[in-house]
Amino acid sequence: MTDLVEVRRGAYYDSVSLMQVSKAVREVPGISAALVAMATDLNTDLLAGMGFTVDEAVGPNDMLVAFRGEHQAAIEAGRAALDDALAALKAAGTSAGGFGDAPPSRTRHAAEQTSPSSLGPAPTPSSRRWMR
Amino acid sequence: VTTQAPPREVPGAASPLTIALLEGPSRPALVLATFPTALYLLASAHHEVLPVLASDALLLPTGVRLSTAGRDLDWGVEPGDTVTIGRSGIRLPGWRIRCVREWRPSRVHAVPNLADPALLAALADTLSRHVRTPELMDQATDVCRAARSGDDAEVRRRTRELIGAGQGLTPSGDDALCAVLLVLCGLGDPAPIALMGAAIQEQWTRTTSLSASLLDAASKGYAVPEVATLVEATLLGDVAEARDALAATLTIGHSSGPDLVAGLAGSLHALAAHTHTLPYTRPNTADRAFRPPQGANSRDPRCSDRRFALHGTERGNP
Repeated sequence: MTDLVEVRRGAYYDSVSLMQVSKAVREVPGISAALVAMATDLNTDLLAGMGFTVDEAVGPNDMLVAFRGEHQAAIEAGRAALDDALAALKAAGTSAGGFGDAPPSRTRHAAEQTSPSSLGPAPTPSSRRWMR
Repeated sequence: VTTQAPPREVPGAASPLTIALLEGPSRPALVLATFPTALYLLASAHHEVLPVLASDALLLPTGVRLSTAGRDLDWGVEPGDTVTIGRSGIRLPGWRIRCVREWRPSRVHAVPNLADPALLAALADTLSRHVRTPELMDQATDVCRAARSGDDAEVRRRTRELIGAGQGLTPSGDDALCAVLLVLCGLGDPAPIALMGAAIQEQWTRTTSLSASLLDAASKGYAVPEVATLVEATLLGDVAEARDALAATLTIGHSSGPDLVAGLAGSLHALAAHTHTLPYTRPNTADRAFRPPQGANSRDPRCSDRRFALHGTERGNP
């Protein structure tokens, strides 16, 4: 087994995006474990629990990349999948997920187009139909 | 003899929450991150983040607002670079932001009348339909309940479980904690806020600087406008307002909006259960100012009625 642990500074993504990136790396044949996350204390603990060792000092503003491969070729494939996934996020403008990109339209129409259908019908003032 | 042109100057509006970071002598600040519509600067302490926001950026309560859209801005810096802050401005390569105004960020105010428990419970159920991680909502219920009952040890334990929990820029646990803090601010009782604020301050180096700064703001009731409106509307039982604000809140980030809603739904569950057995009496909030625990970073922004210490004295939104 081979581990790869990298620290990337200045790389900020939202939680869902990083979960997707972690999943993309885990799906690479030969990769048995992967975590891509900000280096908060809980995440560094999680990483340690997965058996990874971070050799350099990290802080919560750093992004940790860690994955384990059955052989070096799997590690290289995992790294390629990681770079592809991060590049796709960047191309889609999803870094920081709203904390830096132009937010979506805030009109009611736009919100209704993007929000879950369980919002129900437009309520009249003080109507409680929305909650049924 | 050639004379170098002075750097281009762009006006900005400062938030009362971070104006202290812009005052005083020039000093370095670290570029944490750059995005099309925002630049995040780390001033000194871990939670002292100064967001610089284009006109189309998410309106973080701590940010310096510019009137220029992100597409027309070139920050000219990369993460890890150093810029200069102080003397009422921010100096970037080739240009300078000069803060000439102050704007008022959105804030959750203590509600005059809390909605009845049945309505709170119904709203909590409605919000919970949009929650992706029910565990997060349950954890918010636990920490809200512990804060309201004054259980210091439980607040610290629950806070430790949540702070920095999640993979992204503002981890899910922090978003939920922000929502709990905002609900407590909406109730107007300073004791639970102080309890939770202290627990969070003790531990905020465990999470990202941006998230720590937003937790700090939330402990004073400040949030992005959509979230502040949603919290107040749900506590008041204003269903129509809550519905619109919920739709807007869910669009924040990919996970932050739903995670904030999880924290709010969890808090409402705690309130509904509590108020079923205990009639709500609004605390005497004649002195509503949240007193940050000793060692807290900055002055209370609500005491900032003094003249704006920067170059301008005009107040209000840019």
